[in-house]
Amino acid sequence: MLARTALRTASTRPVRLFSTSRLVFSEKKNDTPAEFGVSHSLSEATSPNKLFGPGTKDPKAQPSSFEIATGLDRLELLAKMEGIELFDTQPLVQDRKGTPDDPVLIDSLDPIRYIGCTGFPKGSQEVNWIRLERGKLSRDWESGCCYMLNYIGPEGNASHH
Amino acid sequence: MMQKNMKTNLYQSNPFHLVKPSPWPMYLVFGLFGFLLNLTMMMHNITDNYMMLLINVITLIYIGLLWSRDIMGEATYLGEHTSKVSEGLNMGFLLFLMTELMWFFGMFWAYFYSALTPSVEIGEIWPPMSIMPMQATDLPLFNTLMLLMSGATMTYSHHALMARNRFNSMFGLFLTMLLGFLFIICQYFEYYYCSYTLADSVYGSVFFMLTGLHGMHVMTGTLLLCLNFYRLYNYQLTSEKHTGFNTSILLWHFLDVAWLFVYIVCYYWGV
Repeated sequence: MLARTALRTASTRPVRLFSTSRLVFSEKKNDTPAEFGVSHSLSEATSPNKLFGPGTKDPKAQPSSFEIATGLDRLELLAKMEGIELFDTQPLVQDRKGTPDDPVLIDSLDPIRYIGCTGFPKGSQEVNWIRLERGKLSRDWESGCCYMLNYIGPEGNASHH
Repeated sequence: MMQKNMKTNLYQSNPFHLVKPSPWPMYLVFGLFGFLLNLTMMMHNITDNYMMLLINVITLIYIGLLWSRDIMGEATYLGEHTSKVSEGLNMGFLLFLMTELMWFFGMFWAYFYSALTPSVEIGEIWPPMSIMPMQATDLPLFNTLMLLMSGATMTYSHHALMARNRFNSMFGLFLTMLLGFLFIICQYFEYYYCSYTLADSVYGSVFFMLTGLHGMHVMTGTLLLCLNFYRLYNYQLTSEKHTGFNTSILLWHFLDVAWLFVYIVCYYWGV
């Protein structure tokens, strides 16, 4: 009796098989919540719920990334299509020696950022790790290079850390 | 690393995928422990219960599939795999292949150590006295041809995927799976009709270690191809981005090349 009841309960619930693609193929196709949307460009990607692709038009062709990429992957792709490198993964450029009057500005999304200084010209000393804080001048104790945090993140986020 | 051009805290500011706690690594380790324990016990005649081994294999495959399901969800539906993440996954797989390379290197070392200066216990000849080695132009040659062909069909499938040709890509992948499966079947018959066993002198040991290691990897590779076929069928692999497909291709070509060495050394040169 118990087994039959359990089985009946299970059978009425949506089955989550190997992956959620089963749901895509199921009959409930148009029950997407209204806040979800498709983004074709970076300007349309106003929230994480908008980071979906338009889907593939031709079922006989394998989709392209633009058609089906979602989430952060899509955001990066949309940015790349507009020539923007979303994530800055390059090392910091040290093309001059920062002085207390004219420090090297370091962009940061966070009020705090750690940088490694190898002196000027770069590579002239071992790495010294320096903690930069918003509004505070930081100076490397070996080479004397000065750095200043240039906060570029969203406002109202500064008190979190 | 940061997101320089979006002044918003809607999205995470780094390109990395910080994974949530997952039960699969732990389950996989338990599964592997049981599998190896039962395999060793069977090889040492402590037990002859094949059932436990079968259950272990099924468990391992099941856990592997559940783990892959999570990764597929993260990649396709959640979009967590940015280019940086894909790069990392690719690098991880290359490192794994390096460990495989070292494994094969060690086994070949064992083979040459025994073959180049055969010890007095095996009659100072290689193959050892009264071992009847396999005919290199027989089934092994057929196997070689099949693996080489599967490398070609793999490339055919990959190029079709990049050209967004869905049917050709699936057809090529299916042929590759079929050839891989046939290879495994032929290896099975080869082992079945083999005149010596794992316990017949050092020759049997290194022979079955090398070919068995390779065969096990072909089985795993075929499973990976099946997973990729599933993803291809479900429109999950895109023409630009198919990291899992790429790594499977790497593994498959690695096995191709490894087999050429195994064939030349174990079947052709060493007899």
